[in-house]
Amino acid sequence: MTTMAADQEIERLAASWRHGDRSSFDQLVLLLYRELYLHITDFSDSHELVEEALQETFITCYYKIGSYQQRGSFLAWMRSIARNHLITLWRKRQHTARLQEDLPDQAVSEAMLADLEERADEQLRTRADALTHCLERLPRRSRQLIESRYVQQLPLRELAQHFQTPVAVLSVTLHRIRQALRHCIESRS
Amino acid sequence: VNDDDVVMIERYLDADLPAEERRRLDDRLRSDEPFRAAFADEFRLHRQIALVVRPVGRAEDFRKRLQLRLSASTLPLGMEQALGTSPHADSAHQKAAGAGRRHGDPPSMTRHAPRHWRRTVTVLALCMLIAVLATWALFPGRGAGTAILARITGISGSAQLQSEGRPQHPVTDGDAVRRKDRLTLGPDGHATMRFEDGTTITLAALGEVTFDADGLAKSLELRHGSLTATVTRQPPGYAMSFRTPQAVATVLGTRLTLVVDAVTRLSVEEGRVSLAPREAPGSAVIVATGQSAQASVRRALLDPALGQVTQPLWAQAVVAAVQPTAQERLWEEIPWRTDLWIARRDALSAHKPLLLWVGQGHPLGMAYSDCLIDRATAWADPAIRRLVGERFVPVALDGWFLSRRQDAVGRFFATIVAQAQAVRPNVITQGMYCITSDGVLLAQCSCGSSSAHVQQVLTDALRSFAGALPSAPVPDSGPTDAIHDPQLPEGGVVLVAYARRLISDGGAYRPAPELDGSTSADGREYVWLSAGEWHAVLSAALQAQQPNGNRAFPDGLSRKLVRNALLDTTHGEAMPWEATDITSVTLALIPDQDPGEVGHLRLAGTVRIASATRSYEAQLAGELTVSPVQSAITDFELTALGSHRGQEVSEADPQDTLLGIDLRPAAMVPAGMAPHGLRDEGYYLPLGR
Repeated sequence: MTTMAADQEIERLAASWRHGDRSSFDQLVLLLYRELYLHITDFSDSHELVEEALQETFITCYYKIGSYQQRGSFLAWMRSIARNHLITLWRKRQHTARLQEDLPDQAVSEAMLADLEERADEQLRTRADALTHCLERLPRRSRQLIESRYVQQLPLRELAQHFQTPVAVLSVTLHRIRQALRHCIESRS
Repeated sequence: VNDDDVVMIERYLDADLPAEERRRLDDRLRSDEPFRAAFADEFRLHRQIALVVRPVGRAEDFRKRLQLRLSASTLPLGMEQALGTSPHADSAHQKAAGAGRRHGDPPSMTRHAPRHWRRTVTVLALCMLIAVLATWALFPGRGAGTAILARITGISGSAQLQSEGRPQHPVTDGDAVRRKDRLTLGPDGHATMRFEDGTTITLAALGEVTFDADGLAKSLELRHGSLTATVTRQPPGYAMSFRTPQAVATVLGTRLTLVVDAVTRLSVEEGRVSLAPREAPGSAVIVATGQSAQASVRRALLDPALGQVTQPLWAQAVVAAVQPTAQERLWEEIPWRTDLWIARRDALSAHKPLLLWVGQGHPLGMAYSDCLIDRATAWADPAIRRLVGERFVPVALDGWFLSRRQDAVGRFFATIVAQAQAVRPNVITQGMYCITSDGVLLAQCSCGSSSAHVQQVLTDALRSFAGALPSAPVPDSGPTDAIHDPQLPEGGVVLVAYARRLISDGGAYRPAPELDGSTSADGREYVWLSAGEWHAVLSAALQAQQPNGNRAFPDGLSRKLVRNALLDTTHGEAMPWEATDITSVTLALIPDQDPGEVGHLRLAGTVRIASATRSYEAQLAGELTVSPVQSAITDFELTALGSHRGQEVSEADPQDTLLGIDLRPAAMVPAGMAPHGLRDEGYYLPLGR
C-alpha cells in the first residue's frame, strides 16, 4: 500500500470507528501500533513507559473519537494525544524525582519535558527511525560492542572482561559510539 | 564532559556507581548546567538504544492487552450504546432514528423516530443488560477481565473480599486481587498478599484495605487497622502509595508499618517514605529508617456540619480561642527537619548550608521562651521565611537532649558549640547556628534576636558558604544514644496540648493581655502515649458503654495527661508537674444516650494541682469516639479551663489567670520531638497491650 493509500485507509477506519464500528478501532490499533510505538519511543526511557503511553493514547482515542475533526490527519491527532500523555507521565516522574531528591532523574525528566514541549507533532520521521538506521551503519566492531551492551545486556564489568579492555576505556568507547550516533541522527533530521 | 565524567556516567547507567561517586554526580548535576544537559542527553540516548534494539512486538499482542485494559474499565460496547454511555451513543441513536425515516421525509422528522423503534431499542438494551448481569452472576470473575494486581498468599481467620459489582465472598489462599477490590478482616483475621513484583503486604486483624493501580503505580487505601509492607524497589515515576483517611504515604522501596485509627502512624524500618496530610499533599515530611511520624485530620471544632458535637459550649469556646491562628502558624511554613544527620545529608546533596535552631526544650514543641519570640518575629517575617526555605536546610533541635547525646550526633553538635564559644565565650547551647554539612560554623546568633539581626546573620552565612571549601561526605552516624534520642514507641500516638491565657468575653474567650501590652501567645507541648496506654483508653471506653460498666477514665492515664499536658506553656518551658502535686483529678466517661451515637462518649471532670510555686484548678470536658467493630479510637479531645497561679518564668504574670488548654491527636508530627517528660524515667505507664 502506498503512503497515500495507507493514509486514506486510516481516515476511512477512523470515520468508521466514529460511527461505532468496533472492528475499525481494532484495525486502527493494528495499523498504527508500530508508527506510534516508535514515536513514543522518542520520548521514553523504558519499555514500561512506552507501553503505558501507548495504551493511554489508544484508550483516549477509544473514548474521544467523537471529538476528532478531519482538519488534520488522524495520525497527527493521535500523535498529539500521545504527546499529552507523555507530558503527564514525565511531569509525574519529575514530581517523584524532586520528592526523592533523585537528581539524575530530575535532569532527565526536565530534558524530556523541554523536548516534548518543543518538538512539533507533525514531525514525520521519528528519532527512533533515524537511530535504527544509524545503528545499522556503525562499523563492525562498534556494532558488536553495542549488541553486547544493549541486546545481550552485559554489564560493563563483564563487557570489559569479554573485550579485554579496562572499564574506563570501554566507557569512553561507548560514549564515542553514542556521540557518532548522535551526529548521524542529527544529519538525518 | 571529560573522560572521568564519561566513566562516572557509564557506571551510573550500569547501576554500578559507588555512593561516593554518586554524590559527586549529584554535585555536578546541581552546579554545572552544561554537564546536566550532557548527562540527560547521554542517559536518553542510552535508553533509546536499549529500546530500539528490542523487537517492537506484535501489534496483535498489544491489541489483546489493550482490549483487556478497556474491558476492565468499560461495559461491553453494545451495552454502552444501549445505556447511552458510549462515545457513539449519538450515532447509535441517529442510526436507530434514521432507520425509521421514510424516504423523502424532511430531516427534522428524524428527531421523532417512531415509538415502536424506541421501544425496541429499550427492550433490546434491557435484554442485553440482563444477559450481562446474568453472565457476571453465573461466571464471577470472567466478565470483567480486570488484570490481577496481587494474590493472597496466606490467610487465617475470617476474611472477606469484595470486588466491584459483585457480592462479598470469603477469601481463600491463592485468590486474585484486582483493582477496586476491598479486603476486610474479622477480629481473628490475618492476611498476606504478594504483588507480581514481589511486594508483600500483611494486614492485621480488623483491617480493611482497598487496592488500586494507575498504570504501573500501585496504591492501597487503608481505611482502618494496621499493615506491614515490604515494598520492592518501584520503577522511577511509579511510586507506590498508601492512602489513609488522614494521610498519604509514598514509597519507592522500603519496609514500613502503617496503623490507622484516630490518627495515621507510620514507622519506617528501612528506606525513606514521604508522609503528607491528605488535605495538604504539599506539606510532606520524609520519614527515614528507624523513624516514625503521625498525621491526623485538623478538624474545625465549631463546624456547624458537625451537628452531633456534644462538647459543652464553654469548651467549644475555649478551643476556638486557644488554637493558634494562621498568623501564629507562619513559622510552621518553614520546612523544619528534626534529624540532624538526615539534614546534613540533605544539605550536602542540595549544596546548601544548614540552619540549626536549637532551644532548651524542642523549638517546635514546648520551647524555651526566646524560641517563642523567634516564632512570632523572625520566622513570621516573609523575607526571612523565604530565605530560610530556599537557601538553607533548616533543622530544629532540642538542645537539652542534643547536648547529652553520647554518640556521633552529640559529638558533632559539641564541635559546633565549641566553634561558637571560641568566638564568643558566653555562647550557650540555645541559638541559631549556620553551618556547612561537614560542621564548619558560618555564623551564629542567639534565639530571640531581632528580625534584622537574624537576616544579617543568614546573609553573612550565605556569603561565607559561597567561599567555603566543598564539604566532605557525611559519614554514617553509627550507634545511637537511645536514651537521649528517644523515639515514639511502635504503635504509639502523639497528642498535642495547646495552651493560652484567656479572658472571658461574654460567652466567648479571647487572649489575655500580657504585662508588656501584647496578648497571650499560644503555647504547646506534645504528649507521647505508648500503644498500651492508647489501648487502655479504648478498653476503658468500651467498658464504660457496658450496662453498669466502670465509667472512670484510667486513673494512671488521667494523671499522666495532667502532669504533662496541663501546663502553662505560653511563656516558655514549664516543667511537668510532680506526681505529688496532683491534689485531685476526676475524669468520667459518659456514653452518649442517643442510640444513633453508638461509641460516642463525653469526658467530664475536674482537676486540682498545686506545687510550691504554682497551682491550677480547672474543669475538664472532652469527647471520645470508639468503633467497637474496628476496636479502635476514632476521635479524642480534652479541654481544660481554670485558674492558674504562679509562674515558671519571670516574664509570666504571677497573678491568677484564666488558662485554657486543648488536647488532641497532633495533626502532623515529624520524628524525634521528644516531650519534656521523657527527660525523666517513668514517663510511660507499665501497661501491656
